[in-house]
Amino acid sequence: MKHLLAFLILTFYVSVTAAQSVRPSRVIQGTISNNRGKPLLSAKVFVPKTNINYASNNQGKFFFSLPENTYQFEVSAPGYLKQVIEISLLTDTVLDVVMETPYGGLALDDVDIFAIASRKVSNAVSGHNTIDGAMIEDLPAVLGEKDVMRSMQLMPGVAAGSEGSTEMNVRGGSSDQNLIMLDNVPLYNSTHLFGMYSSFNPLIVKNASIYTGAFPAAYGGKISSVTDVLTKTASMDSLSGSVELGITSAKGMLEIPLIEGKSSLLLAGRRTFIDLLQSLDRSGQSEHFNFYDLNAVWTYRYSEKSSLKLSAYQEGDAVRLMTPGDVKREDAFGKKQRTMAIQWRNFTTGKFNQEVGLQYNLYRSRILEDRPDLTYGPYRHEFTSQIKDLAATYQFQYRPLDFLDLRAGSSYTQHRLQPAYFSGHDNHQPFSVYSLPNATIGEVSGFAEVNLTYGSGRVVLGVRANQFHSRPKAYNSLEPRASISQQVGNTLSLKAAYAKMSQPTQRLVNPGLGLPLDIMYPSDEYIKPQVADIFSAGFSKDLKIGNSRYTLSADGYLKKMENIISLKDGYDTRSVILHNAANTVFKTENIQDMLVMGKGKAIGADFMLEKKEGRLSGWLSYSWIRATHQFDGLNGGREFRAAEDRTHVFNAVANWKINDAWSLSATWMFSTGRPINVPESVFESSAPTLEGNHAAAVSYLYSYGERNSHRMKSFHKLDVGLTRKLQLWDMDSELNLGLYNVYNRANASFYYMGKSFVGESGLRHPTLKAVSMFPVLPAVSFKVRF
Amino acid sequence: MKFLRGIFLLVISLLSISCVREDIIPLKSGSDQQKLVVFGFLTPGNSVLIRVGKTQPFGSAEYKAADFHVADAAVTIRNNEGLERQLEPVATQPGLFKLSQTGFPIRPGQTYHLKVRAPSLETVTAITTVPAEKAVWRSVSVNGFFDESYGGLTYELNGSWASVNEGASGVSYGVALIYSYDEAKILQYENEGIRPTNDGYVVKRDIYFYNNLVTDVALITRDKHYGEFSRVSELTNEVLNYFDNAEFADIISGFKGVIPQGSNVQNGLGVFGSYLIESRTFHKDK
Repeated sequence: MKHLLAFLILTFYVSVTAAQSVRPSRVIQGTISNNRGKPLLSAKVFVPKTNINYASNNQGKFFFSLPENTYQFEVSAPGYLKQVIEISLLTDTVLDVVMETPYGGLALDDVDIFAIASRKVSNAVSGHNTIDGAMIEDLPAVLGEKDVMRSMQLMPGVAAGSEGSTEMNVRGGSSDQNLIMLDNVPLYNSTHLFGMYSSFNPLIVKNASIYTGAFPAAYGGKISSVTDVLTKTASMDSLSGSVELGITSAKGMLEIPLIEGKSSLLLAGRRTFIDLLQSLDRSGQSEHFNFYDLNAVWTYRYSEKSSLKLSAYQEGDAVRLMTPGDVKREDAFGKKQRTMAIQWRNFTTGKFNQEVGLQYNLYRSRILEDRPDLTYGPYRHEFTSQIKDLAATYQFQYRPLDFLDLRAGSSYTQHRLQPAYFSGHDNHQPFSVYSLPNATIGEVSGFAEVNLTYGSGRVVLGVRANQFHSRPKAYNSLEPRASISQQVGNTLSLKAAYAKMSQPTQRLVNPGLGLPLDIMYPSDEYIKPQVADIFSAGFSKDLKIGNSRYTLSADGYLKKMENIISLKDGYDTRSVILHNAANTVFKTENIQDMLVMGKGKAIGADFMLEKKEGRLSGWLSYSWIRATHQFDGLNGGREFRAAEDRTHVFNAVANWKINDAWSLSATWMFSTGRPINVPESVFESSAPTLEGNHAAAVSYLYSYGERNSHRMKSFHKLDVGLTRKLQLWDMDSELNLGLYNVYNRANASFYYMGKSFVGESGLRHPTLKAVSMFPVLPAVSFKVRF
Repeated sequence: MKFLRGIFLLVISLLSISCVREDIIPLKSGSDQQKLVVFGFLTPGNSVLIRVGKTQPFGSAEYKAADFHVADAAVTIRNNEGLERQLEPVATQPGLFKLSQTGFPIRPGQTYHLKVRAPSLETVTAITTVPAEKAVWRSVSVNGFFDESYGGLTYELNGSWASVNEGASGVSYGVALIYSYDEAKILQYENEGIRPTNDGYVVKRDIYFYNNLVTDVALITRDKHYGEFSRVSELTNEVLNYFDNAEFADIISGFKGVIPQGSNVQNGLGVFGSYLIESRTFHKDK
């Protein structure tokens, strides 16, 4: 919209200027797109003779007029090679410019959702959707935050992990099975505050792409989905930025040109201020919630064909409950993540380009329980889990013929894990325990992919090879990938795909009620890497109803998973922490004794109806799924519903641009409740006495039926947002008003077993309770761009 | 500052008025079919006592003690030599059945078969093998030490024992603390603080003497079914205590796995186990 506004202003200016000229004016118009035909919204057309910049709109189109003359047009766009075109403008002219990227197909950032309907058909790839920064901006906010991962949750095949969470379950997979990357660097945790916010500052998100099937061979390491969030490249021409203040956080972004046309720096930051406000409350127990994230990207284009990019990202969460007074207590949860990456990109010829990268990633989570003043047994228990990665990558793209595109690459990653370190003191006696052994693991990967275009069809064949070396065991995997799409006529395309994926590092997930705890668990001599075979097939069809164009797409899939792990009954991630410490009921000598390996299966279909043009745009998505697990050691070996089995997921997204100033958006989400394991019946327990008698009604115990045979209540909510664009001191600004969960549905974030009142037996009454954390919530945020 | 405080109150009220809502979930129980629940803990020298009950659907409005009792069951026990006896109901305790050991001795190493029938409920069976040998304390002591953090003496139990011959059916160990103020000297919460060593086990646990003068410390050698059930009971109680009101810390720290059933009763619930016991008594002033 910013560019559209600039375009309108400039058009007006030019038309006024032209009217004053002696020579007759000629219109020049056209489209700026990349070499895949995708329109570029941020392209600029600079005319040195007039010293005026023109900008393309959000469909890559530009339109202006100049007096008859001969001009040089310098066409540029972030991430693309500048083109200089000389035209004698003697008549109205159409100029379509195709921009070449030095990063070419290698640039996994080369995804753009500003595809008009027909592009969806011609580019049909099974299980691939993209969303861009502007679409995120159009959606309603939660606590004043517009979030890329929440936007992803509206895509077909994707279900929210739980109410309020930005975690995703993709096509029956667990949230641990999603590869989530920030500028191609994998993140181990992509959420803040237990999933309430994602790790991505929306001000710098250029676009995000999600694959739920037909994974390109370049991606590996997770078995259910790939999400790549790409940040903007800072302008190299002028200083700009934006600042946004919401009800729970503030964020800002600054684009700093360092050397005109050559180098720029992007700085961004975000922080909650709930904890600062809470610090004003000096009464009694206090809860502190805080997160922050920082991004910095330095780009240097030292030649037309080469560039260097250095990016850094750091984020952290702190959640603390403190009770001051005579008996102090502190419970805290925190995490920290830091990534750094260097990428060198070179566009050697029009047919060959390459990229070399170095990446560093640190992820650490921490839980603290401190009871310094307990009368009996003061203690401090601290648990940390940490993983450090260092990776080197190389990949290239070679396009020897117009219809043939070859890509290949390799990478080496060293993982250094400290999965479970438990330390502190019990009654002032210090202890420290590595509940799981530390490990240094090497992972080597290579991939090759052939992209063949013929007539109106396209075939992509690829293979990925991995070696995961976790002493004393090494696992090798060969993962073929294939996809085919065939356009039938101008409005229909058919598509099919197969992909094999493997996942050597898993996150232990609690199978029961309550909130999660992260423990990264690498494959070892006992636990094999997870493997998935994913088959999918579908179609995309352009429809015209009245004057509006729609795209209907459908995708059916079958996903078979092996070597998925689960904790045995009686164990949870806390048992892992404590398994060789003293105080737990269920403990083992070996962590492997707590785990079972099994199989999973997901079968489903995803549908999406999109409308991307006109004042009213949006989409409807519906997914049907049946996901099951089978473990020899669980549920008597019988197949049972996976926790990710959400039979029906329906999303409706609408964005109505009322006029240039006002827009209204709404989303409605529905999903079947998550399967959970709750008691079917209750009975009184007995126990022997020291004298050999029987004590009755010692406590209530529970009987469970088939595992996961109950479900949480269905989840549904309506969110609305209203945006008013303003001019504030000559700066574009935006006031966002939002209402989350408009009809105040008590969607459950989690269930737990509790006790309600004293019954006749003298024992408290056992009940199942649902905790919902997100009622109707208003949101206000104000953003200024400069 | 007033302005900030106003913002704070606004934000917190927005977040908390509404933030955490807790609902009791009315469950239409998946199991209308009631099951027999049987508890039996055999030990040499004592009468055979079997408590028989039945399940109630989880999520009922309120439970009455009588709903759980089954007084009209037929309970029989048989040893490996084919000797079978029927237990008699105890008139004063509905659901409790008894057989004097004089007519049916319980012996270490012997296997016993239980069968319980009741009208309208599926017949259940269970087997236990009494441990052949009981573990004995190699060392056991209660030490008091002064701790400034609370300004007084605290007491700690330390003990050790050697492993016994587990036999084919296996054994597990528990240590129960029975305080003199306990009305019923129940053997429960036996599993905390036990750690295996190269040649046996050690236990370390806090003892809460308060004003009580005597504490019994019982070392229990159990068959594996009893041991498993004991752990399940303890875990269940822990979960209920942790998640009593979904406090922040409890949600983070509490057990979040799936509680196993821990029953060896075929077609029913509960446990039919056996044990051998050795206890020591400690006085606070000694």
